[in-house]
Amino acid sequence: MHTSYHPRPDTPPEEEPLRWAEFIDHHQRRRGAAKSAAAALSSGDPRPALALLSGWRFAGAEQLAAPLLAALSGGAPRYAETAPLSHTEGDPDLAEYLHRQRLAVAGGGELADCLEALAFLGGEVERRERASWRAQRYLPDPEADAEIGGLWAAWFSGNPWGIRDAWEALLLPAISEVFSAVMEARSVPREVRRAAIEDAREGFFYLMLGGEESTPGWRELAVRTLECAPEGPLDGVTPHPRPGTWDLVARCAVRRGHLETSAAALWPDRPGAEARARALRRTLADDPGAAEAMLDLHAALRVLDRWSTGAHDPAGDWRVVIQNRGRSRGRIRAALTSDPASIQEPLLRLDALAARTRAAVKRMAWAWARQQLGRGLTFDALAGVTPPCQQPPEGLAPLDDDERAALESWVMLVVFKGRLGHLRRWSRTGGTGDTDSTWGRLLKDDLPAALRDPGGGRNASYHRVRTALCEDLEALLEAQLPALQALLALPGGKGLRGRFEGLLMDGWSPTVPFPKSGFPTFHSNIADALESLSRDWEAP
Amino acid sequence: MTRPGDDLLLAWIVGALEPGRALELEEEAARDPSLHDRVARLRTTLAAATAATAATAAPSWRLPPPGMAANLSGGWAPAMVMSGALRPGDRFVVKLAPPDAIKRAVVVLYRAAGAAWSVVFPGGPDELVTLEELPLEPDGARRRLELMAGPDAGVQRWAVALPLVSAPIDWGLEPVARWRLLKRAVASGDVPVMTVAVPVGA
Repeated sequence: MHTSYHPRPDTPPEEEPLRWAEFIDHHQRRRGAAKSAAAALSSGDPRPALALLSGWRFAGAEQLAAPLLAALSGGAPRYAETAPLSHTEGDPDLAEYLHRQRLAVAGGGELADCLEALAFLGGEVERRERASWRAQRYLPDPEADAEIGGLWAAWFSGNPWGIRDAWEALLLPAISEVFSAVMEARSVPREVRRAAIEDAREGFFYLMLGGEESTPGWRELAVRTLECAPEGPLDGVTPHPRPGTWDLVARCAVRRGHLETSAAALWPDRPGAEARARALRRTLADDPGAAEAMLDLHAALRVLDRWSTGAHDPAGDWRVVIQNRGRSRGRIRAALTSDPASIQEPLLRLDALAARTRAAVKRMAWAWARQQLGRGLTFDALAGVTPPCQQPPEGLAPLDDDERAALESWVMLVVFKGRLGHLRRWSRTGGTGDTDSTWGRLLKDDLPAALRDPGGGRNASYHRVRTALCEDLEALLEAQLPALQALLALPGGKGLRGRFEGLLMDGWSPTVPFPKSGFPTFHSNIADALESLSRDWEAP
Repeated sequence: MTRPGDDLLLAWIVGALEPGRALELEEEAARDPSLHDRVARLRTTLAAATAATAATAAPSWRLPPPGMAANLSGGWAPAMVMSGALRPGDRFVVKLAPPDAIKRAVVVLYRAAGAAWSVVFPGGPDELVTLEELPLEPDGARRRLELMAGPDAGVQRWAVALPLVSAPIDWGLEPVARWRLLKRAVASGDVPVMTVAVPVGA
């Protein structure tokens, strides 16, 4: 999905479209503001730049914004000066669209352009990721709201069996509707669809109960319902966690992939992950609004990082923003499920509780249906919809840089061998639901010994690498996207292996065996993986 | 400019999108009126598919999905070491960890791919078996229930419910009526039950 190129968050789409003169005026004002902000920032005054970036929550606190400002001041990507193209005269939408493209694509240019591009994204974050949630209207229904309030109370009391009929009567229609839509989107044959919907209806209550290794789904649904609070998806949630929950969030964040990098940028003087986790926990616990600011900062830093790799397109920038915000929100949601008591009172206090619960159940059902499609509709060992916030098992250290590099090469190999689906299932559940021999060899023969848990011998265990993948796999795949696209663009035929090696060998971990044959098949497996990732990342 | 896929439009139609993504589509629709036609077509198709599916949905026993259980744990394995998948008629073993010390009967249900659940054991009062009558596994803790794969290729589902032995079964009733109380007790979590999915080759 591409971003919208409507000019400003303060120009909502339902209003009259801009006239050309208004667009030119708007364009000149923002160019002027960006140039002034860039000049001030270059001479040591960040305030105009922060004002320009006000859509991002971190811009309200200079200390939080410091890593981004430092990156911008220290040789950040530069963008070319642009003005509306003459042939777009009279068409503000087209002029805006082309302006964004040119800002993004130009290789050399000005800090002002960079600030303007970030300001646009910040405005979009505020408009789409917060204001749109606050603008949702849920209609109260006193009778239904009272009923669902009683049902929620039963879940919190730990005795839900007595409410099964009422719970299902209220929510199964939404489950059926959403599963039906997902099956329709994937053209699932009618017989399979019927069985899957029946399984979903049967499994929904058990999903709520949770399995031995999965988080009870009712807790996730409770958090998702609270995300529908009038304050917005994070601001409605973040005032409630107790210190232990923030501790879990902080420990997760400072050890996980790109979040680790962002935390290090924010607290460069704190030695190691533990100290950064303490700083993050304190910040989050002291100020419930800090979570939004942190997420924004992380997303903006990821955009800068993307630019530094030479990737320049507005849709890709926006995708990075929403994926990183989405993943981080998922981590906070997962942490909150560990302490349901902390959200009971705010949840039951919500007005229009039935409508908010239905909205939440639909979003959760969509994710669940897609997850089940990815697992072949087995409904086997329900794993929960949002992965749990995992800590490395006791005594097992997080992966170091070399091990992370080895993991990246191994994941690439898994994609080559067409086993991305297996990897995703395995990282979440510890199983794949089949006895696929290719997957078995990838795990037993190709996964570097250093990534296995120590002391396993013939009965190797993989808790450490699974913990890392559970949190980071999607981010890791996102980082590999340009390489996979480049591999897919390679011409097939004779010499394909050499072309693969030419692109990959410099960064390939020596602990992962580089394949010797099968490259034409790898080509088509990469195409399948990219299609699957594109579909999944377009998910709501 | 990428056109939104059917996936996204259908999520929008059923209200499963987060507000930010829904806003994106609203804006896209404002720019591209042909999107309204696509949405209308998808809405019609979805309504027809949903109606067809709902009209034929079989009544359910409301059993847990495979790999999950209510107050019961266990698993399954082929009855002997085999080189390939199970075939119809092959034996396999369901291993049951007794949930408590109460005397419980063993009721076995079967569901072929795409079919409805039905009780396959016991077929009469003389077939009643209690959990404690089943042989012990070598681990000394779990009971071993040996079953035979049904005639249907595909993923067969088997469920084991453990009602109290003292729970009355009116064998004079038709099967559907006979198990009505057990069905309700399973649905309310009062009877331990577990389900396994057993792949069976042709």
